Amino acid sequence: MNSLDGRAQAGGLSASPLSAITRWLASGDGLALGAVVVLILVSAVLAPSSLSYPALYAMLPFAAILGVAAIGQQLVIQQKGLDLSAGGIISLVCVLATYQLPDAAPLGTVLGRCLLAIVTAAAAGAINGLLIVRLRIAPLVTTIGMNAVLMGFVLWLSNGIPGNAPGLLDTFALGRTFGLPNTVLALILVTAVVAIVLNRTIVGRRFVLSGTNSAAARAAGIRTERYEIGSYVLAAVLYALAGILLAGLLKVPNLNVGQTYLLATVAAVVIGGSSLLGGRASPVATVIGAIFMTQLGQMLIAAGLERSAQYILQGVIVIVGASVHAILPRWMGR
Amino acid sequence: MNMMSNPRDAEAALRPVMELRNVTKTYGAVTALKDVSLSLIPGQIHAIVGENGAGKSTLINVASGVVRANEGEIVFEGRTVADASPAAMRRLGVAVVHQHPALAPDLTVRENIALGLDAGLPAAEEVAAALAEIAAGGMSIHPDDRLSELTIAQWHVVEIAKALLLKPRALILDEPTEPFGKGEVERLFALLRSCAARGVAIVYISHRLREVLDLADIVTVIRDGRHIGTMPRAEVREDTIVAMIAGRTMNRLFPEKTPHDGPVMLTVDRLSGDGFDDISMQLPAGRIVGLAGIEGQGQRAFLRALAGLQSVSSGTVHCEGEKIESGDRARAVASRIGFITDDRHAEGLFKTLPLSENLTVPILPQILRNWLISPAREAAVAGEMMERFAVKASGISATPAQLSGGNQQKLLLSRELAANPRVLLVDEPTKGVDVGARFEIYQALRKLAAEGTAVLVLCSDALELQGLCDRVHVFSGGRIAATLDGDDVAETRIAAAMISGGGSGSDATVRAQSTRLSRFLKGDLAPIVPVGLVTFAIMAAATVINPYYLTEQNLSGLASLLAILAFIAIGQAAVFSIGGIDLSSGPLAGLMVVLASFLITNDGGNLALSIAACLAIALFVGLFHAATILALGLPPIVVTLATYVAIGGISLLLRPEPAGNISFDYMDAVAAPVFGVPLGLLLALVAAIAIGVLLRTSRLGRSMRAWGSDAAVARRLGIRTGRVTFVAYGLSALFSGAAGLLLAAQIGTGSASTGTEYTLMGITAFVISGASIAGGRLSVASILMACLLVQVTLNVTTFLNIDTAWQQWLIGAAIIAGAAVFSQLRGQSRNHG
Repeated sequence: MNSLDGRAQAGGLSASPLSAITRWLASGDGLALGAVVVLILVSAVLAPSSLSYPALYAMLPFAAILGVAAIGQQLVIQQKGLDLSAGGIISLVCVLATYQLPDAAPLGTVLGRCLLAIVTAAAAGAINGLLIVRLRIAPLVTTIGMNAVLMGFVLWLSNGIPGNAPGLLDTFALGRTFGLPNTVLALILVTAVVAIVLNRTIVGRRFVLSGTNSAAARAAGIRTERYEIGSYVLAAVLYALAGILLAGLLKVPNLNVGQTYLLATVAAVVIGGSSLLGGRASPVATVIGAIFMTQLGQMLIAAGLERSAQYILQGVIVIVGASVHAILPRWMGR
Repeated sequence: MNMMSNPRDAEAALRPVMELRNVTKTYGAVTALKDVSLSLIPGQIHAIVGENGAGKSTLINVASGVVRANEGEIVFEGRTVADASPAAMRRLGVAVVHQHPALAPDLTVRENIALGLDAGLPAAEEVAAALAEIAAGGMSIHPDDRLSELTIAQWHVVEIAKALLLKPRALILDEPTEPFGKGEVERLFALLRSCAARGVAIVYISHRLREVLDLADIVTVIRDGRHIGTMPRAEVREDTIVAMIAGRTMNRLFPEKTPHDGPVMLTVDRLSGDGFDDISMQLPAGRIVGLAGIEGQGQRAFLRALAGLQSVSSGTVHCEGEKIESGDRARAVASRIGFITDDRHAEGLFKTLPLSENLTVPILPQILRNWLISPAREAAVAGEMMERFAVKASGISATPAQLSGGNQQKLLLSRELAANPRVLLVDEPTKGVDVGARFEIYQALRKLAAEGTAVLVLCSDALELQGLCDRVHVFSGGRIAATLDGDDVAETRIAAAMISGGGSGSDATVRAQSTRLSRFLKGDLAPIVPVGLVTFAIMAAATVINPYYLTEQNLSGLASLLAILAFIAIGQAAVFSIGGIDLSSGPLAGLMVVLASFLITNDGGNLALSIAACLAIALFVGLFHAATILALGLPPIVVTLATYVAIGGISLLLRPEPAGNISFDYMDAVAAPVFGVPLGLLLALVAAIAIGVLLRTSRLGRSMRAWGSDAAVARRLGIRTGRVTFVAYGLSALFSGAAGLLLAAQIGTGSASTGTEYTLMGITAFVISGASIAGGRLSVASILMACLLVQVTLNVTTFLNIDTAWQQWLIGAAIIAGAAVFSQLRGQSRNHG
């Protein structure tokens, strides 16, 4: 799997600028961007209304929320893991952020709740990481079990009735700063921080090394367990952030709202072209993948297709997207 | 030589039974074999000698059909072998004893032998006899022992037994005596001589030159993938062969030894740990010290313990007076103790990252500018490092995968040197390195020692130890059996000390023969006991607390639910057995409910045809999974996660709202008792028994479990990935389909929201049955019991009147706790592999 980062590919053996361009196109960023361009063209033909200004403006916050959660999933995948508890965490965070809060709850209370949600999520992530690393349980088993436990808490806390997000949360999630939706600003902030840390800091480099080959990283003196456990904790915190924004945006979040993020986060990472075998990955590509998945949904709705068709297409897109990323570099490399 | 009285026999015997003609094999830019020919003559023992990486293993892999040569042909009894697969070569009578035994760790000795013979399970007596012929008392191996419970030496005995039971015409042995001591080697040699006397053509490969020359009738030397010469053993002297192997005389192969005792850098005092005991030594700056020993005598464990990669139980290590904490590689690195692994692909290189990032691993703080990594600085530093060591590559952005073995090793060495080590530990300094790069590596190590670093190398090649080291410690049974200094550091002395010191190589590992009870406890079925006890305890408690629990109505309801889950879990087990995963089981069962609401209705229609149509659709999904995984090389978890969602979408598309009644006759038929059990449950039990028989007793089932146990081994045995993948995913989907049809009878109406939860329930049942999600290990009986436990637990929550949240908690906790318990149990009993 060579679908790593464009820089490594482009720098490789490229002699001519042309081959550098084709290599970049075959890399994660290039392909993901290509997919979005194709999607925009298809949207323009099938459902032009989905490209209107209000439609895009309505789509962006959802893309941003998915983007934040997907970057979390990406961090776990970089450590050769997979987090199937993303849905449970987002659902639980939505309950925690809304449960029995009056609409006029003061800022302190709302922030306290958000903090509680983030700490709870981080704890769940830490338990995932510890079980996976210390007890050597498969990530799939651990996170699928954790997801069930968290959904148990969702049912227990809510008694089956979704809560209302307090007004402040609502206002923040829907609000704009400098003309940009706050959700989008949050995404830009998260993406920038993750990208800089991964590419330009020692801790980020060690994170990539330990995801690429944990045995070699350990032999080189890197404490790989910390990075692996850390990836689950950070991912959980990002899911919590996404969940809080989602609760505000939806006002009355459905109890199962998180479960739609299970495949969507994986799909965004896959479209972004990150290798599912761990190692280097680009958060920018993942965000492009998140935009793709969200715009796809909007286009399908605008084109009059139902939720069922969206599910089917999501599945197809994941397989097609992953195959393209798996096959194209192999094919270009020849 | 063998005794052939009749001249005509002798002439026939001299005709080769098998030949390799002009074989060339390349891997990318690397030429592993160049125009090599070899004749195997019945009754003769033909030794192939050469350095590590000379191409011996590639030659064997070509001869045994594991890899296909780019050019040249294999001729067996005068006929060209067109399709040289491992199975085809075995059918011709070519048996191979691999250096890394081709044995599946989760299967028993007998099952492994059955795989190697392409036959049914051999009789236990026959296997025991073969084992006893190879090693005294069969080295306490029971034919029904699981391989993961055996030691390395025992693995080799099993591998040799497997080859002999094939009754081969040609027998190829690659380093068969690696973990054997003197007594075992002599016994094996006597056996090989008697095989040769019976007319078997034997190829023997080893780097223990003395042994080889004792045994061989003919010697072939290969070097750098080329055929250097073939000659009768009687006509050549040992030093001639040594020169041919190295390609130059000894004194030109190694840099001059310039030992000078500097200050002591590392002091090891009575260090003990897993595999080594009470080791003390001092490493002075200025010297290269070697560790020797036959495989598995604790030398590698000791070296890794010094590196902090393995924990120690007692004793201390001091580096220039500073105490080094054990079992902490990061601390050892901080104390400037360098380490180079013997397996650079697994533990050394970051193969998908550019060379620059491979090189700067230990010196990241040096490439910072304003707290951030500076790419320009990194490029400059990495370029300098590559230049200084003459690492040949297209540039710093190339990846290590594009380098030759020698350049990869130089890369690792320059990385360690950049950290300015006080002590450098090197495991197999020139494994898989070409002759040219070897000298550069020796020279670098010598220079490093001269500059004040203490160098400790572990080598399996006594010649290399002689040429490189100033002092050699020979390990045996976890202790230092001999220490050789100065002129005593000679190949003959080292080799003699290796096999004689402390006695037999496997003395330390001899263990009591397993008993029937111990085999059961370590077997796949054993978890059924605790799982069963918990299940019946819960049922008993519920009966006491609630009188309505043990009613016919509740029990028959439980039976229907058990039948559904059993189908799901057994289907998933088929996929787990090959190390795959199928997440789509639940939604696929849900789709069946929806389809049934269209096809199996009260309006009549052909029931059998409808059921067949549903199952055909399910089977199609399974074949789609297999095809996608095989053709596109995608991880199964991604493929089945995608279909998990997509199938849910299809169900929703067909039934946006619950509608359509399932035929009442069909529902009655499924619930009707046959032999006292509901038909649905009876079908599930029959299916479970069928899968159990398939996995346990058939060749296909053994192949599937071998694939899940160790796919690389399975490939070497010639098991085809296509077949096991299609069977596993096909069965899984088919059984999910059956589960869905039973679920339809349970639900009674077409609803798109049913079934999904069964994916998690099936995996839960599989995991708490003690089966391994990584593949290879499972017991169908135990899975059925676990299914009962899951359904009983869920059912009991409704009787005890507790919150529905408990259903989620119990399932979630059960899967995690089950996995944790069994992974800890397995972790303790597993030796290696």
